[in-house]
Amino acid sequence: MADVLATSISSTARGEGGQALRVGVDLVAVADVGRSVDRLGDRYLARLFTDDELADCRGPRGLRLESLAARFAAKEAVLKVLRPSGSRPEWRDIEVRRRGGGWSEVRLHGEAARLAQAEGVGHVSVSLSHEAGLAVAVAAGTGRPDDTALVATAAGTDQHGGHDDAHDDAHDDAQHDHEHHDHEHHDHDHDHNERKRA
Amino acid sequence: MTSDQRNEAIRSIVAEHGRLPVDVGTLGVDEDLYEAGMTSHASVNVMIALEDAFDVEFPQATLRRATFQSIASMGRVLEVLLSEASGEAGGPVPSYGASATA
Repeated sequence: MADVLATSISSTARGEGGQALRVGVDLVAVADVGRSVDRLGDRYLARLFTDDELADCRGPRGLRLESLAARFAAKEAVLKVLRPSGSRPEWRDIEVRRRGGGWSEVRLHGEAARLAQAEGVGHVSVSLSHEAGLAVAVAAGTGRPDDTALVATAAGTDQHGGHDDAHDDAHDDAQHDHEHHDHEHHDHDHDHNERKRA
Repeated sequence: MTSDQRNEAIRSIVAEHGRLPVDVGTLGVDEDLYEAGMTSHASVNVMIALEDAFDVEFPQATLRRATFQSIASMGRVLEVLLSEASGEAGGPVPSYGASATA
């Protein structure tokens, strides 16, 4: 079942018009965000989050660190859908807003909007969650297919006839993290927001 | 400030903000910090701390993996930003992508 699922969501899956499904995920420790707020304060907050995002994260006891962390993860996840080849958009150009029903949506501004257009990325959906000191977000959208070559894998086989040296997503995140750093204002809908306690 | 001095200042900031699982003192200046365990969130902290320390701002054009990949790559970009900030005439055309690719 898992294999079938993986196949159907492979990076070569095509939708209408030759669009490929793109997905991004990111994981952040809430304590790291707390530490950043403590040590770097407003410089950190203002660099990463828009005023509206900060307002979305404000509760009766001040900023909810887990909400901030989830939003940071969402920005990185969206970045992996956009796949910049040069410098990446500023974090504030990827804005995560909460809808009245509790779901989150992505709004792209400036360089992020331009990048989305260049990559043929229309809607980007995002889903956030946090628990046990961790915040996670996943983003998905369709874009032009990736026509870059596969990275050469290390030579060598194992007894099963071949060792796939390709990184799994977790390994990829830890090491490469898609800071490719390297696209009209789209109101992208929703998806599942965290419905966690504040 | 020499480039060595700058690199050592960067090294201190990476040690303090990079949240690496290894001793930053043992890392070579060209060593890949992402490979050493620096996350995207940690690299943001390093960036902001560098901006504070050197009184510059990393413009959007410098926000790429290559910039923060190593102590030396950050040093090179900082050198350009600092020379721009001081308005040096006849300085090199900024080439933020000069570092090794990922």
